[in-house]
Amino acid sequence: MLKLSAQLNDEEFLGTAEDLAAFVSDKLASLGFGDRHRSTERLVRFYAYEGLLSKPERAPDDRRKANFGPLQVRQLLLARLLAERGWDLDRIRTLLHDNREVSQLNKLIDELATPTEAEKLFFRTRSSDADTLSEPSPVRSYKPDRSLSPVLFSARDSEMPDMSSPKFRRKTSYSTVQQLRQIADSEESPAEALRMMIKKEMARDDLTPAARNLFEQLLAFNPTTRGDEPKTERWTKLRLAHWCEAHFNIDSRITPTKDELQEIVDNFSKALMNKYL
Amino acid sequence: MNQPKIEILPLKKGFLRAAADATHVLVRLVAPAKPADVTETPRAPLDLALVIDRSSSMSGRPIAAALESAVRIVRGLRDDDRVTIVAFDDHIEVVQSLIAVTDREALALRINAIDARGSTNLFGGWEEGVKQLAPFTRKDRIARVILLSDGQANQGLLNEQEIFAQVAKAAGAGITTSTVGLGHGFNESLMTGMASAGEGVANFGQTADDLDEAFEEQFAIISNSFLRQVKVSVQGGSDVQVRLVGEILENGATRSRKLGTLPWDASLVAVIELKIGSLAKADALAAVNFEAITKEGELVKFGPALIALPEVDLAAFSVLPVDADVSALIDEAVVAEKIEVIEALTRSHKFTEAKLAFEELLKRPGLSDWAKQKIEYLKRLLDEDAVMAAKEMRYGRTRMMSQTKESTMACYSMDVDDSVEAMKASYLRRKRAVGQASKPKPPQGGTTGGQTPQA
Repeated sequence: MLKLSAQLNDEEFLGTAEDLAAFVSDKLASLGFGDRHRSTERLVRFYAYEGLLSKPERAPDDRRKANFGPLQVRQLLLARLLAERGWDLDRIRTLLHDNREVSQLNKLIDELATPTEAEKLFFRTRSSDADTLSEPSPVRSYKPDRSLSPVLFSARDSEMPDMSSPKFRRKTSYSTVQQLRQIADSEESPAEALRMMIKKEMARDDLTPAARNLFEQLLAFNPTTRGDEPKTERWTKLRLAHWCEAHFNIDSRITPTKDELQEIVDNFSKALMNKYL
Repeated sequence: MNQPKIEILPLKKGFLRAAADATHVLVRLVAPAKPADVTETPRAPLDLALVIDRSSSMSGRPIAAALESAVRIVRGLRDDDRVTIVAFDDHIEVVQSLIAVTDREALALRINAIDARGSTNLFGGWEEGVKQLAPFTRKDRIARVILLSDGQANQGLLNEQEIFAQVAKAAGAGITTSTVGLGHGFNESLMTGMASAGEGVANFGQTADDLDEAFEEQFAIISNSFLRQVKVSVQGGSDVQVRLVGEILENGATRSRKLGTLPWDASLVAVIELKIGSLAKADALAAVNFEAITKEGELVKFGPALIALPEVDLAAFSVLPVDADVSALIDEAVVAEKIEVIEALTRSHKFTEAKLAFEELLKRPGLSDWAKQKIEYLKRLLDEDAVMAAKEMRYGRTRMMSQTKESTMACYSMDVDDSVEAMKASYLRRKRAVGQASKPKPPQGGTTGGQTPQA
């Protein structure tokens, strides 16, 4: 079987973040990896900001335009593969930093294309069994039920940080902000993702009481948590930590409207952006 | 594949029915000589995780020994080997992710920059070592974690049985674990247990020189492995009680035991004690089975080999000759079991009883020169340093029971000659003191210094 790196055919590739995302998404799909490996322009920018992707070159005709090439194709492809297998961003970043040459990345892509037994046992994997080239992975079993989710959130929990990582502890605030920003800004994914992220956040043992309180309330409020009794609470202003606050106003209504949910997300996002971004 | 041979060697070639004393039988699994095509490649490339305890309890001599040992290991690796370095206290730091061993001096610099601080998340450090190797495990490479620690875990997962279960899980997935106990107060129960569960080797020492031989031995075994995870089990026949000799306190009357890795042209031994009742059948006193994993990862079984002995009367039994070499090996297992009891006395601070037990052991008739030297060393150490004596007893008796032996039976009863021992493969050498270098090291120099894992 032809090695994965030999099937990239990207020698001529040069493009924007959007082009890069599309190229890598198509490539992974054609190689049999499932839809969840898809990338978006936003994800490319996020990875670039997080230092996973090398700096793009400036386009000669337009200095404001960034051009990505074969190096970033490999970096993004590896990042997507590994993130989907449960690698946290710090681990992926370290790997990519230690292997900056195209030839090194080719070797890594071929070696890491399929997870080993040991990796499946010791990494927090969601779908390692399906991540092989011979067996194209199915689309993730979770599908958003739009009828239950009036407000459309987005999060890739593959990008969610590994809470056990020591580096994560030092970077919690920023990672959280990035996560929430993604959720808040997306136009296409469900509130369930937000709920999952909040649950993960709540597993941390270093949360401030204020943050825990906010997360608990957000969790109770989430309209996609089936089976739970809807909560009726009055919120006006919640402080996540000294660095963040969100403004809500739902006045005891059992089910918030789509607009209200959007407002919450917007305010939350705004608060985070104003403070940190 | 080449088949190993099971040998059943009774202490006496006959048994006395319903005797008060037990009958002892030595069982050996003997590997064939290494085929010519195997010798062409010295060993599979190695992916090594050096997991170094940097907690404050390691400060001073232990951390210095750990770093020096790590540097020597790195300097001795081949260009196609890869290494990752993890340092841990209450935080886990990946000092170097898995990388090909091309710039040894840069790696040495990174190792030497590690300093002691904080508390000990031993499991977390080990787990990170495993995680560094896990995505890269392949059948044509060897993946091993070497944990260098004082073994005083006080952060993260602390339950020994849970740690052993994780270590065994990693070994099952191809990542073995060896441990090196450093300093004076390390937890030998944790460190030997991890190595046992991890199909690796447990060693201890005070200086890098002490550890050199241990690493040399460990790499030599890896290089020459014929079968791994060798396990022996024995079933008694009708009206026969059987047990494996060697660990009466820890495992009781155990009938199965892990023997470890069997290198080419070597053997692993087990001693079986039989209490033969009046209704026992002479042609089927017991059955011995072995199972193991091949280099290709395949589970293989050997046996059953039946233990059958002619029945004799008391007069004939008393004049039956004893094979001196068989006797020497059986003695080792019996002595190991006695040392286990003395170790327990030492840990309970019953030093007078422990010394008396050593005296009794030395009076045992027919004791081999090797066993005598070992016991005398332990007795002397007990006078000097009871804590280290208990550690030496733990590692020494484990080694007596599980150390790889020569493929031939000759020489076991002969006096130990250090110059002869030095010429043997490192995993066949007998050491009086497990935690000390047996010979002075030549001065180190250049990038080729230290032990050579290619051995």
